[in-house]
Amino acid sequence: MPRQSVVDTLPEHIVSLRRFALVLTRNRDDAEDLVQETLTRAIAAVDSFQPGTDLRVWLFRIMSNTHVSTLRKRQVRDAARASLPDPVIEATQSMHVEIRQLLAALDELPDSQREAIVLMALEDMKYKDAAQVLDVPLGTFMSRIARGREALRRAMEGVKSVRLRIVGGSK
Amino acid sequence: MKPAVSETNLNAYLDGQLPPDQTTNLEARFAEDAEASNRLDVMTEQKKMLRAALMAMPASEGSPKTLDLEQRLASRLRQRERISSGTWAAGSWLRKVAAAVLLVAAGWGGHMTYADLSHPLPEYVAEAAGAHLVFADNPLRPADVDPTQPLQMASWLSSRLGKSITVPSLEPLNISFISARLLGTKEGPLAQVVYEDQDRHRMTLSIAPHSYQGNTGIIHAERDGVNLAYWSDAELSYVLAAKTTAAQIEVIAAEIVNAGQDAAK
Repeated sequence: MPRQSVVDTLPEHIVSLRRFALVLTRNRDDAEDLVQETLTRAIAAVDSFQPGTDLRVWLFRIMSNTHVSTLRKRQVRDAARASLPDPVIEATQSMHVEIRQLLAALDELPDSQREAIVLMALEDMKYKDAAQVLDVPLGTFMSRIARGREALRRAMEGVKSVRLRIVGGSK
Repeated sequence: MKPAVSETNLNAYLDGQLPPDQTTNLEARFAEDAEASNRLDVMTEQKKMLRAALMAMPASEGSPKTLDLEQRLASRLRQRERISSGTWAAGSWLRKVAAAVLLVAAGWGGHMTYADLSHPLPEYVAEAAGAHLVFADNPLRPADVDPTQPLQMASWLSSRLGKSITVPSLEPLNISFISARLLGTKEGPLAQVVYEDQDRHRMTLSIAPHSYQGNTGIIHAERDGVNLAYWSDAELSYVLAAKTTAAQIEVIAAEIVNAGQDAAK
């Protein structure tokens, strides 16, 4: 069988990128814009891709950088805090209440911790690759993962007795 | 009583990031530490739930514009793959630098092992010629440059290599700078930085200028129990060498690459 070209894996990476974009932007239209901007930048910077290395890491890194610069440009950090993205709510309407509570707890985390946790849930990358995607030192990435997941665990311990929140009820 | 299993270790285990020996140790701890084992179960379940929620997002359909961009990127990537399959010589040069570093590490006794059979001169003769070019008309090191001062060494080595280099600090990883030196290889001058971890294991980082496009990702290799990671940026090639695990060398290499990128910003 001929050796598979990394290009054959591109469509599945783009689906993953779209999921990550949905979490980053919290909005379906913005997510699609982010995917398109990422692909446009990837086409322009194709020489920086080293064949034989992980195409997925390269693409996710471009997306993360694109997202950061878009945020800076639009200064929509505050606006973006409104609520979980619609697609997440749609996806979880029929899901177990515990998943919805988990997503609500995730929504309470700082962006940096949420992004690290979502990236690992989505892609199971090596830590050093994930740190590269988010453009932070390895130690910083590991502490974000640890702190974020600890906060999630504690939030879920108390969630049943303290509060029962419906996810994404209103903006 | 043993200290509690750290959050960092627990997470690294959950994400499959620990080397086999640490995995085995931690699994033994879980057997006797119900609290840690329970924390792990909760975290495993939460990661699974989160993944299920992410996978349930409707994400497979994009707009026609996205599809068009995807096809353009695919075609550019295919082009890129074709071009690079013809330029493996760059990687070959890097492997030679790695071999030169091993040569120095192994002493002259190792010189025949890595000899290039097609080379008209024995490898050690070519190396001696290179060392002559680097050192014959210059001192091994000027008297006023202190080899244990990283800033002084970076500045002097930069002047000898003809490219600006930095000596990365690995203190965050508990690895200390010991000294640096200039070596002469048949490829030209090469800066070698020596580090030591808390258990006094030595590690070297070798830096040499190159004349090809560069920007190659980290490649891992192992020779005679020495683990190597080598990579390049636009102007310099790097080789990290130590008798340690592949995972450890990769983590340190990634840290150096990141530090370099941060410094370049």
